[in-house]
Amino acid sequence: MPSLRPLRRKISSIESTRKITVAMKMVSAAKLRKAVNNMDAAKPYAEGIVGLMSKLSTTAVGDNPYLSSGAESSSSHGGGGDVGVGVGGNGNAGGTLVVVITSDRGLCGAFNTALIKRAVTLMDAEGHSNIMVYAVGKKGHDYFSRKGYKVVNPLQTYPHGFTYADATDISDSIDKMFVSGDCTRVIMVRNEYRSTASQVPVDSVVLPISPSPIHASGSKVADTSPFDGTTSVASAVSSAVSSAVSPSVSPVDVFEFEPEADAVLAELIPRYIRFTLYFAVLESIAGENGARMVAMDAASRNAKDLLESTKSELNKARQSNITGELLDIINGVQALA
Amino acid sequence: MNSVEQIQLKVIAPDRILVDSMVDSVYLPGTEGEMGIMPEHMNLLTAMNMGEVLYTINGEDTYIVIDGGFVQVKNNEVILLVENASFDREIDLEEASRRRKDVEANLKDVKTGSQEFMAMEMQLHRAMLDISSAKRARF
Repeated sequence: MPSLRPLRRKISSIESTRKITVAMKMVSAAKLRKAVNNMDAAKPYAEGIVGLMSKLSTTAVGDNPYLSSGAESSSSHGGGGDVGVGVGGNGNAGGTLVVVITSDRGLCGAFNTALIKRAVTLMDAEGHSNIMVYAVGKKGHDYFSRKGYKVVNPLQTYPHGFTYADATDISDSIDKMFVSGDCTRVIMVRNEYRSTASQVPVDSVVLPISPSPIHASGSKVADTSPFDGTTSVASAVSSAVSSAVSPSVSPVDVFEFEPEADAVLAELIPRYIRFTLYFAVLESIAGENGARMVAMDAASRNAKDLLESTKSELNKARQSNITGELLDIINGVQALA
Repeated sequence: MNSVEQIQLKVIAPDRILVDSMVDSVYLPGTEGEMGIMPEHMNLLTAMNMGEVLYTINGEDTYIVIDGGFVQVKNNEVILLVENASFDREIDLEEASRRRKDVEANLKDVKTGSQEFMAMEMQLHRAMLDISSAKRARF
């Protein structure tokens, strides 16, 4: 006669697991809402700074190719276009710094693994061994340290939320590495937040800034409404550029620059990078919670299925036990008769 | 006062919008010096230093302390993109005084003229700005 106790124990264990996953799903949903709000709060600034960037790059680069050198002077902490500082900006066989933005915690599906895979592929494609990693988030930091990559930053977590000051710290140290020539290229790998259910790992070159993306997107008209809540940094940024450029840059729309445009641009670029980083982390946090919500939802559903099948297993076992007992009784009665 | 004599002001920080309303005038710390912006100002684009932004609505002054940023004036609209901005009334005077003391204590150990020194000087400057603004807001 099979014992029912192990089955009962299994059921109660599944039930308590399900309670946890359901609770975690609700927590993630609340955190997701907050993260999306933070992203929304950052969008007016994004629009502004990208608009400025596009205006300045069109105005300032007109005669002199400032932006390519602007990328270098960006590393001089906005110190007024000190072009001589960032000599390593182009070509010098310096290293590549890969900024990887992951989450601190797991249980969010393939959110981190897919991102890390993307980052590793990218590093292999860089084609040289002088690769450094700046890992934002515990998961990435753990992985790259364990695998023996050159991780340049100590692990930092943000239990009380990621603030602009945190982004400033990160971008300052990246800035410092770029200006000292430790790295000549900075690439950021991050999860793009498309929707609750969809986060896509993407990479982009942060430094040196090539003027082309800023110009290029200026010509095409925004086909998506800027900042509709699902746009990513890149698309948000480019759609903001197009919306900023297409309606506003008419021949009469001339600005007085004070000081001249180049100097303003030199001030702008470090802040632009800082903000890009800030927004990327906000986006990653939103994506993380979205991914966790979906993962926990799937886990809750699995638990429910498992619970049902285990329950029917239990019932079958119980029934067969009863049948057995009945047979015993009947046999006993017949033996006595 | 009708709207022709006013100018639209937007003060935008990375994490929030501080101001979005019609104002009489704006004074701000441009990199080339303090500047005032009145209605019908010409189109202008410039960077700002650390300092105080002052705007006036119907004769009432409001101050915002900023770490720097950018101003764009266009078609009677002023847009300020600022980092680390706070209204003077939001500043915690005790916290700012503590910050000032900390920086002053640490400043002695840092080599004059180094990058670290300059960064700390900026922190000190900000702390002192916060203190003076907070004091003015109180009295």
